[in-house]
Amino acid sequence: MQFLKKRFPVLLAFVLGMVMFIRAFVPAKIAQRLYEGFVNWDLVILGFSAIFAILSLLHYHINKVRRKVPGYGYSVLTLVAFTQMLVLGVFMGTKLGTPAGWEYQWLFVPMQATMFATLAFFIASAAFRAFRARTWEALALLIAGLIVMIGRVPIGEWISPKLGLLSEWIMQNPNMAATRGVLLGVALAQIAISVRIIFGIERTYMGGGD
Amino acid sequence: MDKVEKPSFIERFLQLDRRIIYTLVILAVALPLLWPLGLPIKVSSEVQSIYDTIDNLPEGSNIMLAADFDPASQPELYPMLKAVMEHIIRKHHKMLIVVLWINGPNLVAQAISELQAEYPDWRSGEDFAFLGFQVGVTVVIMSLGNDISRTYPKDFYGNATAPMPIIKDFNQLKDAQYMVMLEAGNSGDYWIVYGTQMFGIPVGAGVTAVMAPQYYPYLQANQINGIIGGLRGAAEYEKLIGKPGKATSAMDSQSMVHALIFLAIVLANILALINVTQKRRQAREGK
Repeated sequence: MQFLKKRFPVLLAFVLGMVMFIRAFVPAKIAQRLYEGFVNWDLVILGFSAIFAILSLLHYHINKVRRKVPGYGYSVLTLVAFTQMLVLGVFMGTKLGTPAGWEYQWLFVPMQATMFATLAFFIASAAFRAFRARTWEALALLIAGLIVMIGRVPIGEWISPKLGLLSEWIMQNPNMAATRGVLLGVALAQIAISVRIIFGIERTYMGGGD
Repeated sequence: MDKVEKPSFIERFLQLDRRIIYTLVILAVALPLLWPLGLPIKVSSEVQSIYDTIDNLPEGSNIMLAADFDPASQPELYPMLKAVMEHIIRKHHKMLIVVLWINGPNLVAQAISELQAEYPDWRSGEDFAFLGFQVGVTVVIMSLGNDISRTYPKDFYGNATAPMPIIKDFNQLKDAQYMVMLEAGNSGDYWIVYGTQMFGIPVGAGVTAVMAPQYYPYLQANQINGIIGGLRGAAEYEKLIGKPGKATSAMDSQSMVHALIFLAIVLANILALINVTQKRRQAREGK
């Protein structure tokens, strides 16, 4: 049991990780077929992982309702919404024109759009209250932010065409340099974590407990 | 007992009731929609580049279109989707549309039905195929590189993809002459890493305004050949195809809200600076 729980996943990660790594450098047909096979397997596994995600969601909310945790009414709502959408979707389809499609078009779309639209109000209020130049670095950020914000909408270019050009320069130079640094950092971290997983140093993906 | 100091006008102004700010935002959005200002929209080189690529491809070229967004980003990306699709239809290119976001397919279906009403000769299975959603993001992209009809055995409407005429010449990602990805999240990164770079397909990115800065390194490295950024980008594309739509009509509102936030930040900072200077002076004078 201990082997299946602790050693087998590490062994599996090592073998599959090394095979896929070496495969990338082998131009033979067998390597391509192996790759295609793994990709197909992945698709099947991901289908099952979606089922697990749904079960996990249901388990979480059913437990909240059972224990009457404060705010459990929202969990009841989630479960009702989930169940009715599942029933409607499975038996009548999810395309536009079906009941589930109607719910999507006239409930889900407006609700998500509303959530997103409220951001404009919060941003305006927060910008007025919190975006202060308390240090020189904050002042630089503030000036750059203001130029990009006004330079990327028609009113900025209407005020002065140079604002548009300046905004473009900020995006293509300082912004790009900083973003590139972040991307390189993320990529290096991904390589490091992959190596750690393949060699069994990183095992948090197996979950905790016994 | 210390006397409680009454807040100055500036201090009271800096604590302005948020409902006043909300009201100003509502007015900044609504008034230009009722009375458009007609501010000129200048087309950027990033958007022009995507337009030119689609425009200059030989008629009947294969284009892959990824619409990875959901209703939260609909105001920015839906007008972009429609404008790009309409351009592709007008140029008589073949188009495969995939969605990696579970809440996205019905938005694409809506765009397709709106465009089919305008272009009745544009046929599913021949001129385009809408493949719908498939779970897996990176794996789906890798699988599209191998065999599209195996990755999506049926299209969004439930028709088998393998017998479709469009699939005969367009059954692998590498068969695409160009790709446009409309992204509200990080699936665009995966398209570049696992899709377009592996098969050498030129790609243009349409993204939300908040994501646009992330895509500039890809642009400079020629990993993408253009960016359609946010509502502004969508309005630019609408201008290029000569059909002002929702994005164009919303640009005045966006301009006004940006101007409002700009003024709010500048005003708040000037007042805060005056307030701090006054307090320091008072402290120096021992008041």
